[in-house]
Amino acid sequence: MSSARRARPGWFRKNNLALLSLVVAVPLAGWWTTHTDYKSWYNAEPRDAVKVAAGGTQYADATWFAASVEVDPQPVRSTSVPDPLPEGTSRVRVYFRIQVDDVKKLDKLAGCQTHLRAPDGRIWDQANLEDEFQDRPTGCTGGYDDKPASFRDPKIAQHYLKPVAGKPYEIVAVFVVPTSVASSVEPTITWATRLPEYLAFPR
Amino acid sequence: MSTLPPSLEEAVQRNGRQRKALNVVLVILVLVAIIGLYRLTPTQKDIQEPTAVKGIVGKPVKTPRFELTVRGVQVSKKLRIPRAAPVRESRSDFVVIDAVVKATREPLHLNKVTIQAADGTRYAGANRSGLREVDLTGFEFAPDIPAHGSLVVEMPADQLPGAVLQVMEKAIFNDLEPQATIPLGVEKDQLDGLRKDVAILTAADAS
Repeated sequence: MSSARRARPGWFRKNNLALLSLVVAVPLAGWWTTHTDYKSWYNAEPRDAVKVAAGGTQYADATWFAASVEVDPQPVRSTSVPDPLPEGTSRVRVYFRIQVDDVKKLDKLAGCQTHLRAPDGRIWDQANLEDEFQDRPTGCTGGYDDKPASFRDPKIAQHYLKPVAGKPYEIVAVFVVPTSVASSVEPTITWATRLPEYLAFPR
Repeated sequence: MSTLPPSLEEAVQRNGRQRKALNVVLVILVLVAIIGLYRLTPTQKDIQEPTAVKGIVGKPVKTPRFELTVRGVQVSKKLRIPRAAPVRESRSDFVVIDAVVKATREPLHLNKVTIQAADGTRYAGANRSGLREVDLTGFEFAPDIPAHGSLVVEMPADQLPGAVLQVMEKAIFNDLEPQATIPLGVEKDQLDGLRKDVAILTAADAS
């Protein structure tokens, strides 16, 4: 009969399963908390551009066509005298063309925000006080008149008619940006509910 | 009963004394470590206080999202707000700060303006009716388009010496956010020179 006592298993050996689970659990918990914080930070701003092709791009149940951009546009009425702009700035007018297959889907376009974005990521909002340069509706859902309104200039009254399924309609946004970026800024459209995605309209 | 030889007994006693001394040293080390760590641990205040971006009057203070230049200070008991009547009167004083602001990245508003007096008292920006429509707190700043206007704080003018202007983008949830911090550099003997009958407020506008 052997009298040699077997060595008692050490603390590490007794707890090796628990220790192994820690090796997995601690990095996993770290990743999980960091990942959710990172995700909420990432999703808070427009970061992922959906580029609109010249021939039209399907997005948010609508077809988006290339935007046309005018630097230093003329006012709607040739007689109006707009307020002078701040020194070193230029006015930029953008026309967006949109089409829906079903007018009921227009609701999904509501709440859009138009911006101009410089190549370095700087962003400008639409100018609120430039209505002398707005000759189209300003919201993504387009016009709201049932028939051409008599109080509007006949040349632009048709743009304020309610959109028709399958036919493109236009909206306008007017911006004031530093002259140094007026030729390089790109129009974008964002929805708070669709971030970080945004629609980008290459010039 | 056996007794240890004297040399061995001496060695045991010496060993005991050394062990006691070592224990005392270790206890002191642990106490120092505990106190040191306690003092090094960031407090709630350290985590939540805004991060000061310091500057001086007349030079732009560059925070990551906006630049603020303080051009001057006026003090008055009365304030005329453009496009609003009547002239507002204060039981303390209106401190009107002439400033230029521009955003650096995207459109923003400056939602928190305070003046911290030398004794630590903080005075919030004035909220008189009609003021927000024309002062810089109601203006949307655009990247690289400077806007010139006024910031107004209602406070006793004799608290101005040693006071510091603090301006932030966010009024709440602003933990560790940058805060433009500009000592107004007003001396006691300068107060009379800054005082006006009626303070003139510049309506905010892109310059």
